[in-house]
Amino acid sequence: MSLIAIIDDDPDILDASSLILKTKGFEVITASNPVDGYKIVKEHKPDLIILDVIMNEPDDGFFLAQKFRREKITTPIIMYTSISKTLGMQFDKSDMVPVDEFVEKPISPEALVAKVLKFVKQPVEN
Amino acid sequence: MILSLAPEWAVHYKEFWETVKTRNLWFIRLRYLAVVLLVGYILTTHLLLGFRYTNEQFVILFGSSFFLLGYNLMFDKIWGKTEAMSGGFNVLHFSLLQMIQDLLTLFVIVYYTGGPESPVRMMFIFHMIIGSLILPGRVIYSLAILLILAFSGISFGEYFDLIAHQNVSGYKSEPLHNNFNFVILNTVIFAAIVLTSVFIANGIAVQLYKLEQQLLTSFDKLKKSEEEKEKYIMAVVHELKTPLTAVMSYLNIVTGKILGEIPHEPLERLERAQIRTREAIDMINDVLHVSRMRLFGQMNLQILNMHELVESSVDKFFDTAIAKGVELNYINDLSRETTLEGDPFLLTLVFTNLISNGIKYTPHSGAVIVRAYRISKEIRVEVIDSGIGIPKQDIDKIFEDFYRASNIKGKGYEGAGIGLSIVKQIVETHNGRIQLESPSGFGDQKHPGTKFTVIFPLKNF
Repeated sequence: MSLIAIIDDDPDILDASSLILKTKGFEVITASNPVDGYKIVKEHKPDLIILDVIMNEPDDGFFLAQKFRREKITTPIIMYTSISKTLGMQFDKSDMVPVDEFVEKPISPEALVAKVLKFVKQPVEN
Repeated sequence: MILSLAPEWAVHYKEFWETVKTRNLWFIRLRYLAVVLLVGYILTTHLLLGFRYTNEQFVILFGSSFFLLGYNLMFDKIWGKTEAMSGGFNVLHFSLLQMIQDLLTLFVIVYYTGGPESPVRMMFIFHMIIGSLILPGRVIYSLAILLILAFSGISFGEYFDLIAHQNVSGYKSEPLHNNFNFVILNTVIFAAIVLTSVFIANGIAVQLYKLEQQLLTSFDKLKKSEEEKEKYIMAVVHELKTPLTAVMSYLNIVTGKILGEIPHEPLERLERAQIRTREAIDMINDVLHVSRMRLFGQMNLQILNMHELVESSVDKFFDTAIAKGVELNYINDLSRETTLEGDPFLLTLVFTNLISNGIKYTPHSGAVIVRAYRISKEIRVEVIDSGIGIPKQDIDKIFEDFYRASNIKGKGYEGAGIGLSIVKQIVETHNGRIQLESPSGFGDQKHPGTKFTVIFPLKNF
């Protein structure tokens, strides 16, 4: 079964994302800060990481993603962002921004599931 | 610093140098006039007033006129090449050069029109006043002292017969250059007038410069505090968005029936809550996006299909118009290939604001027309309504921050949206302009209506 790690400092966003993914049959682990996030990824080796761009500090998410890539952790990363459209930032996959996909907040179940399925297989529902 | 001649209080260098440069041009234009006046002076005094000049005097005086014209043409050329900045040969050096050149030429003219008796000597005062307005105190005072010394030198030189007197007859009954009382009084009064003129004019000029600089400093401070305020608002609005995002995510889950079926009645209310939350998030996004542009000039520039952009803006309002009983007419004559480089979010904001205002201020059974077309090298989008219109006295102020027309105050019209001042700012950031007419030509006596025209120049046609 596919394991997905969600790292976000907003407990409600963690809860909402977990709810959506669990009902689709994924297994989910969560962390609410970059340090714990790093730990759970190292320990559990998830199949996909979902990361918030801003946690305690702006760009926390980016730095954590860069840290994973430096340590040769190639697990696909989806980044939660509520600023890309708002602030006119142009995100693209690059070395600077080593993430594979973006999901706009607020979370829409359909959009999240569609993006997740690009990287992991749909579990067989019980 | 000293070599650049700039005074120590010139903090806003750019503005300071620009001012000096402009004044230099002013001198050059004035000098062309001086050439005409000099030739006019010689001819009038000779032909009409019967002054008698010697041949030598004629040659020197007309020669001086040509010389004046010649070096002014040269200065005119140099002016275009001078840069309004410090370093190297700057505009103040240029002013000083002109000043010295003028004083020398005038000295020759004064000497050949009678020396201490010359009526033209008054022009020295005029030169010193002009010099005081532009040159730093120490420079103009040095020039004034040199001038007084030179003038005394020529007066006493002629009195003691050390220098030949250039007599012009026809305006005085007897020569004055050898009258001691005249020479001493003339020199002392000349010196006194030169010094007081310089003192007063330079004092006023320095005051004015300082005031201007103070104004610029205050303006900078004001701008800075405005920016701080806007940054604060941006931070607060951003903070507001975080909980709303969580609320919206939950609403999406519940209405998306991720947690199971919900009875129809509560679901309908939850969907309303979802719509209202979406509105709030959209509004927050508007504010953040506009602040981003205003504070950092950041835009998400793309090549936009203007036909589609206008269409999608209008599409959002058909339901609102029907609900209010306002007819919304839409004519899009832009070809589907018409493109413009711009920020899609900001430009959409411009059109949606104008259309929503049009509907808001148009009463039941009125109409709003949105018309987009190309005329020569411009894209024009008109939003015309048959609403309450804008009173004449408010038209010029309607694009100011937070201004609301006098006919909507206290009439229950809620102020919403981003405001016309920001609409204008967005349009201008896209090299466009916005025009306003009221009456719109589409209303009646009671509802004169308003017409906004947004115009963008097309680059590649």
